[in-house]
Amino acid sequence: MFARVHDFDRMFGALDLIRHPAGGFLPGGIVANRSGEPESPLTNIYDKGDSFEVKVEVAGLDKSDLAISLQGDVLQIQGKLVCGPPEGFEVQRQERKNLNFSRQYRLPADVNLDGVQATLAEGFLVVNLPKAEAARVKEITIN
Amino acid sequence: MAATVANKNRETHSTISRYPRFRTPPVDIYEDDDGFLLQADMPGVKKEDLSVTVENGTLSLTGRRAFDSCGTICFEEFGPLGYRRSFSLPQSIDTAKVTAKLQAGVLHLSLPKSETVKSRVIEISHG
Repeated sequence: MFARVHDFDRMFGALDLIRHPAGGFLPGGIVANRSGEPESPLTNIYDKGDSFEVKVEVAGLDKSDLAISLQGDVLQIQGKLVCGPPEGFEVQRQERKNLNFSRQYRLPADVNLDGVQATLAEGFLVVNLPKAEAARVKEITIN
Repeated sequence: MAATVANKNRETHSTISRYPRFRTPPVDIYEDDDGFLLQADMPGVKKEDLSVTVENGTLSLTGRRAFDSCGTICFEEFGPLGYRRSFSLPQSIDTAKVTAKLQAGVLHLSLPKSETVKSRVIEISHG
């Protein structure tokens, strides 16, 4: 019985590995901190041709609660949020959690460090990273 | 066995089935003498896509976030999503004075208590 459970476990483990097929960007492409911890914020990464767009779900976080850094092709996003009642209020229900996360993403190609821009709107952090000249698609005309 | 794996594989790759369609937003409720304060995480929802209604003593929060996938997906963990949650309101709340504010993906609701339920000393007359 347990051997069978183990078999299932292995099967799904294998499926996890092939879940993100695009561009060879497997979950293994993430450098650290993806051990299924719920405080790791959900992220989408898109290739927009000339740039990458990283979109992170960070509800309730303010500009001052976030720190973004980029080293080579590794983008790191850190955030902190303390939830609690305002002065004079008592807690009836507390489901939102305090956040303290640090997540790193390895980008699929080199980016131009100077052109990186980040915006925060409606609970989403959007980081726009223009690709380095060498990583851009270049059309070649045939003579 | 191989067929099962292939099916499962296809399922995980299709955008439709990969994410939950609805999420129950986590909610904090705080109380003081004057009323309640409710905070719900609803990232991505715009003001016009959110409805807060009070009907028959039930407060309903319904929101939907649109999803613009821009460019090729390198990595994706979330998709379009609806938010749904409802609460029974205590009689003590003055529903006409409920106010709502959407800030940084968090809905803030203020639910003041009505004047009639605020504590009051009643004098007893001798009969």
